[in-house]
Amino acid sequence: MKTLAWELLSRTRVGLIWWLVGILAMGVYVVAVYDSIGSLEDLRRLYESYPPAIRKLVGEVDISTLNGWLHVEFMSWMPLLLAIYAGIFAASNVSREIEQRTIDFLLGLPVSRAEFVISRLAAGLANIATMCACIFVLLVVAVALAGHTPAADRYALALANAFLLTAALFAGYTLIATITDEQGRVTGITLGATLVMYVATAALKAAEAPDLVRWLMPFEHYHAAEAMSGEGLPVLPQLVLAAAAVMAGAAAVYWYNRRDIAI
Amino acid sequence: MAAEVSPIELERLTKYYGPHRGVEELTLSARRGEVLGFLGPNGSGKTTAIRVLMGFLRPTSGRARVLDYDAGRQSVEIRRRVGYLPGEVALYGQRTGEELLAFALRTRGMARAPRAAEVAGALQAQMDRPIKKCSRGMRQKVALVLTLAHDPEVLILDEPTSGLDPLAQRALLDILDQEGKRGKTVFFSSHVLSEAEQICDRVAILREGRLIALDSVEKLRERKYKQVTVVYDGAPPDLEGLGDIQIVWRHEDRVTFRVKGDVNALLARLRDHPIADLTITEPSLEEVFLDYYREAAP
Repeated sequence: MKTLAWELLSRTRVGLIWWLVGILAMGVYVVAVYDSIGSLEDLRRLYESYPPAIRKLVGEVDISTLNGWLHVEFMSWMPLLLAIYAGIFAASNVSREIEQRTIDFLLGLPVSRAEFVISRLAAGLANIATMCACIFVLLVVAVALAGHTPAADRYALALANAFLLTAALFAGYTLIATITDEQGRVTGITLGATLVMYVATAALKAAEAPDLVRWLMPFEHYHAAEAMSGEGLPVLPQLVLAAAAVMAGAAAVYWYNRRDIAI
Repeated sequence: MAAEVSPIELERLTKYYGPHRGVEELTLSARRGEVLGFLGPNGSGKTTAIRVLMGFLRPTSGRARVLDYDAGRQSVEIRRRVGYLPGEVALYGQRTGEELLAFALRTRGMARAPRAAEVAGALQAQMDRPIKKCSRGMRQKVALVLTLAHDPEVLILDEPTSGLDPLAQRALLDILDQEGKRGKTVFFSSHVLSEAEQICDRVAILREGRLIALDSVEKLRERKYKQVTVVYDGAPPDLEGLGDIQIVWRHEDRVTFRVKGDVNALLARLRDHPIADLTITEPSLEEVFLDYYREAAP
């Protein structure tokens, strides 16, 4: 299993670096422009004038503070960006193996189907964790270089939440990829589902839908706003995300074990 | 003493893809040290049977065993001991053959590949080039090196000569022949009958998912017809009432007969007329194959 995961990590290294370059550039830009904002009070009023649905989706923060600004302009986008990466990763490294027929080479070796799926899950999670770790380092360094005091504990909590959310989504996308053999279709389904869930989270919040319904939306469990405001992270949503990741991962292994690998 | 286990055993194997037939009631076994050809046109079920043996497909009914391991439940053990070449080779394009070999060895827990250099040399496989820069034939050669490198007990090959140039085809057939002589079991599918004719101890012929013949090439030929060509010394006589003997071609003093079974009956009839020349030829495997197909046609 370790051999498979290492091989995949090595093959996806270049893609990961380019994703990181993009996200880090975005982070540097967000940190850099904070000091150039003329009136923080105007900024706060502007944010408060946003529709409640958007404010609820992003989180109730004081955008005039650095941490509030970082949350609204950077952290609130993070799960969306990471989820897109997760969908592409699942499509490229699970469905594509059958579509491109490289699965015959892999499963011609003494490798079980469970090892195959778990290696994909492990490599994907390792890449997502690497991204979160790099983003953390970037924020600490960029904020310090900009002459402010980094709130490392807050960044760490927000990114831990982003990681757990992406892990749950990634496991779900991997399950979809074990069912569907076409890379393009899986990419479309996962990206579409990500956007729908993101928007639906806002809509359900705005409509003040019952808690049970809102809890079905993965993005509902993203509490970076609280983490960045210094309120800490609620524990239950993290447990829900971790449980969802384990269940979806187990379902992916179970399904892949049962299905035919027909080409 | 316990009977020797067949390296490959299919027992009443049936596989359907929804309503579509893959193979039906397929029963056959390969012996240790045997080169067994698995013949049939496209869509006859060869690849389905191979994919069941490798654990890629779950049988609808019946069973498949390799080295006494169940293909469905113990496929990892099977793949540890088997060299498998898929029908359409696909390898990671950015990797070289050497990198893929190192990866394959790591998954097998092996430090070195006992046969890689020998097979790569015989096939002239370029193992140091990225796969995406290799021609189709070169990719096939690299895949064959990966298949044979760990010196497996059983080789399961789906159309192994596909994409190879004639020299490489010859080299591969020599390798497979040698593998059989070394006591390895070689099970390979093909629709190029001359290949099977050259190296197979036995051939299995598949038609629409069912086994229609399984025997040595010689026995299959014997069971079929012989072709007897007679050149008469003068005009050929009228040949009526020959029973099972068919005249397939007649031109001037030359007549070609097709005889099923014993040729003595024909030779007895031929004695009445002076003969300048007579040749008896066995059918090629291709002719046998086509004959089986004609016979089995509904």
